[in-house]
Amino acid sequence: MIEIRSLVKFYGPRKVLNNLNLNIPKGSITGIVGPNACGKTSLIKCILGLAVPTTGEIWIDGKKVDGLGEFRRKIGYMPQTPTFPGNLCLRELLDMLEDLRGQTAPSRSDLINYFALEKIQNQPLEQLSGGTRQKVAAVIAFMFDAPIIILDEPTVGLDPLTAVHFKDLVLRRAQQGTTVIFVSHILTEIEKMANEMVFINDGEVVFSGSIPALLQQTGASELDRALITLFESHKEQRR
Amino acid sequence: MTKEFFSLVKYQLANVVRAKWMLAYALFFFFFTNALLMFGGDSSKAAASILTITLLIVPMISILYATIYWYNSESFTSLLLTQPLRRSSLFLSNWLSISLGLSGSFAFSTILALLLNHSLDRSSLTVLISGGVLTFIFVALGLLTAVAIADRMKGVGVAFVLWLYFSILHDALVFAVVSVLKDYPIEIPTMFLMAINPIDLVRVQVLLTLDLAAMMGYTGKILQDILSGSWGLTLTMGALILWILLPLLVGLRVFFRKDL
Repeated sequence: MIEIRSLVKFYGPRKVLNNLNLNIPKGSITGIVGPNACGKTSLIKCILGLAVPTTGEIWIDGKKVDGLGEFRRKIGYMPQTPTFPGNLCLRELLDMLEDLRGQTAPSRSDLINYFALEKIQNQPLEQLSGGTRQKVAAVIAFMFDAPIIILDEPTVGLDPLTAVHFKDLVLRRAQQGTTVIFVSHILTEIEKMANEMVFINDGEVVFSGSIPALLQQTGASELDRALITLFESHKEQRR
Repeated sequence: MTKEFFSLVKYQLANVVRAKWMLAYALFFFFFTNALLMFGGDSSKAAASILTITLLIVPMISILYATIYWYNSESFTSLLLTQPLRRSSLFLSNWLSISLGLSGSFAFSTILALLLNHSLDRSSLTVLISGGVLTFIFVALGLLTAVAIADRMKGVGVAFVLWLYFSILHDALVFAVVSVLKDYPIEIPTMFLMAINPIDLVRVQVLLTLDLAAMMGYTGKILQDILSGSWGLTLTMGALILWILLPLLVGLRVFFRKDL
């Protein structure tokens, strides 16, 4: 369970998260959507500890997130556009992460096979294409079997076949009890995968709940229409 | 230091030493040293020429390489910080691995050239050590610049201006101040003014060690007058250590508070 309480984040004079409250249930797949610059990435960075909240608290499984970093053992993260040290190879990169965590990654070889990366394990990472780097990022996110996985636009850059493979992996992990949070602009992806959805606008949570509940609340028959209705009504409220 | 720190240094150093830039840097010093030893007269003259180029090139490459390296690896830095590790380990391991990579490349290529020409002696070793010290200082300054300035173009620009200042402008400034105030007893204030330039400190350290007064710039001349003797060497060494520690500590402080 991830609890976010009264989270406020300023970047200089700009307020990007505005008293944000959110509960993410254990074992759920939560899709986070919202317009550009609404605060999605800032929220994720606060959960990961990459950005320090101005005020507010984040609790993971009953423990407050602090600056010490130990809580990150529970989290696997896949960024939107991963970059890696170009002169290392995949094998060294994964060895490095195992050394840093002080543990062997239980799913490392399974994931390398799953994403067909066996043959490029000794190739310098600078030679990999964008899509292959995205696969490497997926391996890193999932290989420690972390109970929480955070994905930022995970399928951007993946070929359609790998994207399907990737979504299957996410669903399988969620069935095993992993909490998955993912940011995406692809609504069909959210509809197919997420059982919880969070809509953020201007740094506030406008909606949090299941997709059927959202459709019922807005009276729309499709997700995109429902989100537009939410967006417009939130804009009206703020006037 | 912890296990995570040494793990980071191990892999980051491997990444740094395999870079094509590192090979180019090594080749430059190899061919340059070779050329000087072949055509530059006796070995003491050659050592003086190597020192001049070292004082110019090593700080420039160190500060620019460290700054650009940090900006290029920002995304990976974020990814690493989603692992259970301390920000201090990450920052300091970057500093150590870049510094070791650059100073190793410089030292290896120069020593190889010196050995090939049978010119490895006390003076050339002193120059090598000075290059190493400058590398550690200017890599720290480069990382501080990159951590403190979010905008890449501005950061690289500031790094270049810092190098320009310490390499050229500072000496000119001190010279101008001393010329204007030559009728006053300004040795001690001038010494402090000069101590705020690590390149001058290294130059004087080398010249005091090798007694190469002919190589001294104006600032170095004043420093030699004041700092000759063992206490002078101790003082300049202390100042050089401060020049490593200060940018590192300030950089760490900035990095601790930085949103990535």
